[in-house]
Amino acid sequence: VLTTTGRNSLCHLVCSTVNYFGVIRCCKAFIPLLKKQAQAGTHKGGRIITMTSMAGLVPGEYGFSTYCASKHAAQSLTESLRFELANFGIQVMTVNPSFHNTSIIDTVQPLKLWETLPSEVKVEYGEGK
Amino acid sequence: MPSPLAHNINAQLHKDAISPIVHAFFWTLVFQLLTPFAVLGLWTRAIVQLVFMKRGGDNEYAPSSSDNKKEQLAVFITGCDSGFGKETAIWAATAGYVVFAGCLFQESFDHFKHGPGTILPIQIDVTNNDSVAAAFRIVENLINDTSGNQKRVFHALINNAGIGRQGLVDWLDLADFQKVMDGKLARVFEMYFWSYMC
Repeated sequence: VLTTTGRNSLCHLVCSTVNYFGVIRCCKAFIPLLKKQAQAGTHKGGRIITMTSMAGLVPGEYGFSTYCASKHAAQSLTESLRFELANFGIQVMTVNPSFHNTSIIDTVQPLKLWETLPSEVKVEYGEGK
Repeated sequence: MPSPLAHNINAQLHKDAISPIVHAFFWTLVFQLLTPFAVLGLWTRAIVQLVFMKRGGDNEYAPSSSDNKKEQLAVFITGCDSGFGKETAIWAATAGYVVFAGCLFQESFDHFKHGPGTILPIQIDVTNNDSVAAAFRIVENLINDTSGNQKRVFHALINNAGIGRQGLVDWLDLADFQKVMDGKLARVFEMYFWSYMC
């Protein structure tokens, strides 16, 4: 699924399954352990930290709809979780870095996506001008 | 009971034309006088916060490898193949945490072979329920493992795994969903798609 085989729909799928549903899955798996520790008193002050980039705070970046939407979803999820777990003393926080030169910056993928577009869409978006 | 004079003044103030002017005058005064104090307050707060941030404060959960009586703090980080995840794992291990480094690819385990401190790489695909459950079981077993001389507690989950995709909404074709996805995922994603489109 991770290779760019299709159109932007795949990007939406990949982005939200990793960035949003991935966060939910991990949180749901690990929250029982943190809660158990907090209630047993073995360790108070557990944490859940979610890396939502600046795309989770700043709406509407051109061409980043997929990434932005999934990160906004993760941001809201984490903020709700913060209040829900406050009673257990579990701190929930987000980290919002802007763009850094890590491998998440993929300059090849949009070009590949462009190649898969039908020619009339390419013309609409300025090919041959 | 207010005096007749106060009553009279109040009645005059509430007449049309006078009332909005007095209202505007009053609130202008209030805002002009209070704004500097508000600005001063906000600046003071910001400076105090910066000072506290610089000093660091007492972190009761800072790991201490020298103190054997204290429990070891374990953290689980997803997406340790590259970028922030890898750096965070190495930093946390250097700081003395027991790090469970969740990697999507087995090849990424090599990063942590000679890594600082205790880094235990675990294969995890956050898009797969079974994979997440399996990773959780590994973490749970290692935390409940009492064979070591130090007790371990689970301190933090760091949801770092993420992926970046670009492209315009206009380039999207809904028919591709049916082709690409199996049934279960399609239903999950259909919901997401509708909530996104509305």
